[in-house]
Amino acid sequence: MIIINGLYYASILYLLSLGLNLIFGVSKLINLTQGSFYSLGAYITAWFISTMLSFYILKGNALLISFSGILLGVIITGLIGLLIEKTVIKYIYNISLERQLLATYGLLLIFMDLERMIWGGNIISAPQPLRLLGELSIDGYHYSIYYLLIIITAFSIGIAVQFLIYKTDLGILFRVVSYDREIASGLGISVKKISTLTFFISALLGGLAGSLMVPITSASLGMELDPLILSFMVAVAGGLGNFWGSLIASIIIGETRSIMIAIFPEIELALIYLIVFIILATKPEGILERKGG
Amino acid sequence: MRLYINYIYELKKLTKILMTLIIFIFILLILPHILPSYYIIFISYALSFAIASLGFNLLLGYTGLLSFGHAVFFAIGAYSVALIARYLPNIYYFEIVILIALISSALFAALIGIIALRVSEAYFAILMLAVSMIIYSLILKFYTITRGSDGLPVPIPKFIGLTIHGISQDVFIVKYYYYILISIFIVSLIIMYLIVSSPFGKALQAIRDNPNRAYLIGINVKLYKYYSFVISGTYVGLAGSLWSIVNMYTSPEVAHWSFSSDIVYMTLLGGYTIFLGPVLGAIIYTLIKLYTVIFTQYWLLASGIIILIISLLFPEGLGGAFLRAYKFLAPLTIKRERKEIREKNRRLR
Repeated sequence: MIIINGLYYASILYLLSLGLNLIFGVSKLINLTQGSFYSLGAYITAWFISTMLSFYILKGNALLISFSGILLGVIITGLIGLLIEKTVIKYIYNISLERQLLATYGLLLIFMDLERMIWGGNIISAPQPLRLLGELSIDGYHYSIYYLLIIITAFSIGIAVQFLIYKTDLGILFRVVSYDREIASGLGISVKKISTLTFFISALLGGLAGSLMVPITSASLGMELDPLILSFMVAVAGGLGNFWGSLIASIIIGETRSIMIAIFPEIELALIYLIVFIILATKPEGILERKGG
Repeated sequence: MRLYINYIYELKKLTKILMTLIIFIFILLILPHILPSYYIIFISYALSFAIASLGFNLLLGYTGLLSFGHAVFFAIGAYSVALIARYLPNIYYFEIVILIALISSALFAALIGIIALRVSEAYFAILMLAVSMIIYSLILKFYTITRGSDGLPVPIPKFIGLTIHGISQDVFIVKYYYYILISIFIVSLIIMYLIVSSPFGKALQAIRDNPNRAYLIGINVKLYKYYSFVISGTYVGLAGSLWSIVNMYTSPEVAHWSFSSDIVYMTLLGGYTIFLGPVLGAIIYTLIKLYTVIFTQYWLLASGIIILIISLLFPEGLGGAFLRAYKFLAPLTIKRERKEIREKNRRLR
């Protein structure tokens, strides 16, 4: 049970850091707005599920509504990501790292307050999918099916993104833009379109992480801060732009978190950051060094 | 001859700096007479933040290292004051407390710097973030010592050879502490200016512009970066200890990464390429916070929009914008003077 707990948290972190890595790899942008996508996905899903299930007629197909809620959360977040890319982000690809960080931090703050304006300061919870799916018992141990579903989803999406980048024609374009934007545009590749697509995909991934998280922890203000920072740690500790590295790092962090919460909750948070500190101090470029792409 | 010109140039520069300094001190001293005491407390906050961002800017603006965890030194300064007030009330004298805060933050920076400076750029920023979050979670979880998220109160300190009693902390800040803050602020401003304009400061700027070139002309890059890191950490620690007395209370939030990003925000708001930029940034940051809290409940939204505008439109912060406006306007007056001289010459001919 502890292992599964750790793994589901690791998969959420992996989804978030996948988005961060993708944007950093292709557009060289450190994107703090990923946290906003996480909370937006969570809020939309929670709001949809809780309003829909308050109607009596719809009580029967709760499972269907839950999953359409998750789907809706992901899609709307992706569209919001697209909107931001078109209005703000496209101006900050070519400015210095500090200013990029500052701009995306500003966006993060703006989204935090917009969420407060729209949904108020209340906590919105929608635990239905978790309860409805029930548990799976093997050898007397009970595993929540929803947790397993999250792990499977995250893993398959990780593989899908890898496939997209390394095996398809579109992936070649991504990699070319990642190596050199100028030469890519010289070759006739629309760098703008590729950057927009990357941002869209990573917004989808952030939204998915948030939506999947809703049935377990309810949507609340400031919920994005801890996962955002942890996924940053995962992305950096795994080596920026390296997918396998962040997979390993997210599993390490997720498992440490769940094991320490079970054994010795006082030093859980400190230990996670200590591990990241040790990884970075001993291996300055992350667990695995960066490959192309 | 050349030496003489240099000397004149330096003298002119020095008088210019002294004039600004005197005007600055004059404004700060006159403020308590025209503003209500509520604002004086806010200026005290701004001054302690200004020291922090001044120290932070030695690292960001002059050495080119972005740290996302400088709040950790702030927290160490603040908590060394609060812990002494709680556990060693016998030595709770202002002078001793500030000295201990300085020493502890310098020692901590010296310790962390050995490890943190081995990595660069984004990895350095995240490493510092990890450090500050370790300290944050330690402060949060060791409830018996630090009282966790309840925080620790910071009473009025005693002074060597002077005892103040019978007044509330607000009155203490407005009547006495404000002037102490001004003097410490001015001293640290002067020291920072001396550091920045010394050969050491120039070497740091060389490292910022191109580490390899700096290494090749014989600058010990690692050691200089280390010194800069320790000095900057000490400054932020001093700011933390001064702030805790203004705030009367410390909580673990000062070690959290969002406070680190506030320090970064202040510095970039004022402009990190300018010496006085961070000071301006700290003052404007405090004002924004004050007024958005008064007028709207959405202060995150307001500051988010301001951050976005600054990062998109003013690459050198507000200080840079002012300077550019000044440089844009200054040639007009110079041109007019030149024109007058030319006409005079023509008439003479």
